[in-house]
Amino acid sequence: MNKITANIVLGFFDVAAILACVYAFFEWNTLYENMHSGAQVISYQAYFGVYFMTSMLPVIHVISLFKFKLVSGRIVNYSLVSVFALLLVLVVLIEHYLRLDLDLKDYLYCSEKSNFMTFSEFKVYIKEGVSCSKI
Amino acid sequence: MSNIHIIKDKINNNAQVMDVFSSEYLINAWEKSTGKEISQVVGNGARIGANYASAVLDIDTARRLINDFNMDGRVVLKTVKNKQYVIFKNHAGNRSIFTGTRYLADNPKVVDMAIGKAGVRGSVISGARLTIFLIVPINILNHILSDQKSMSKLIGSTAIDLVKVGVASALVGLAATATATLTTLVAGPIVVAIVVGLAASYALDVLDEKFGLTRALIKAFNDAYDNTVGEFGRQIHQADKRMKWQLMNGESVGQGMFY
Repeated sequence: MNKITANIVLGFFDVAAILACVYAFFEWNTLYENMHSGAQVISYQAYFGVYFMTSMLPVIHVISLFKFKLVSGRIVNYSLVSVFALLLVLVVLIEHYLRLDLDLKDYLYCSEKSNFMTFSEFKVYIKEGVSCSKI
Repeated sequence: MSNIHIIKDKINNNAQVMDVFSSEYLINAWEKSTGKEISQVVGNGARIGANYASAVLDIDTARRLINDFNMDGRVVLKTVKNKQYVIFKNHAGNRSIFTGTRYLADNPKVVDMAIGKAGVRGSVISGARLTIFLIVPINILNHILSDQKSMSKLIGSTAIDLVKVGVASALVGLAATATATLTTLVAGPIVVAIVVGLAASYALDVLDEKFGLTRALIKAFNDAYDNTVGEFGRQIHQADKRMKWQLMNGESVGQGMFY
């Protein structure tokens, strides 16, 4: 792969990463809107904060366009790893606080309606009194 | 007292009760007491493990790499006389894994640590292989433990799972190779591989859920079975019924069907 192709490929990934972040943001907004309006059923993809991690891709792309000397390279490496670890913790924290908020708003986890896909779970929370059966 | 009586007495005095339960009985009892399906609990737990196994191994590789390079590692790929070399630009004396300054790109150490294009390719293939090795048995286990057994569900979900692993691996390979081409930072490609791997697998699940790909494939398998084997079975059943009716009503058996 030459440098121009690599840049084009990473450009596509940058656009996809931005779209993923926007999607995650809207998902988050909708979830809280539904929660505050007292929707009977709330569903979301567990650990959807993973999409926010893609914000690293455009950053890494921009960084890769520069050549670093020893000291600045070390700073960049430290920053990259720190941001990665921070985002990983953020994913877990988002999920944790989301569950806490759902608990506070008296939502109950419905395992019957929740759906496990290949890599993630689509969780369904219901208000008390709402039937938790597939049909 | 005869010897037999003595032995019988001894056995009776030392009697112990041992209950033998079938696995189905134990599973049912557990399901009743917890209110959960065992297939869900075992399958879902194993699925989570399978999903993150590859990412966790990649994170471990990144950790070892960063430890070895003490955060200031830079990698330059250079082709000399049609052979690609990986050149490390920091103090070799501080490193424990890569003690040399340059290696061939297909050196096992380089491939094992996912450095360079060959390394990234090796890492993506081994990650995909690991995920497949874990996902397929989990699907079979889920099928065995599930109350509603359906072959088309097993085949359909496994086929879609494999497609997803393939697509995610291809995306990871593409992104990580492009990053390895551009950056000299040692942690760059592997961090990109982890992030793209996680995001792509999640996004593929969203597409599957939104467009119902797995459900559609299972339905297609069910329909195909129903239209071929099922239809053949129904025809046989109808012929059997008709022949029985003909036999009971004194008509010649098979008339109107075979002649």
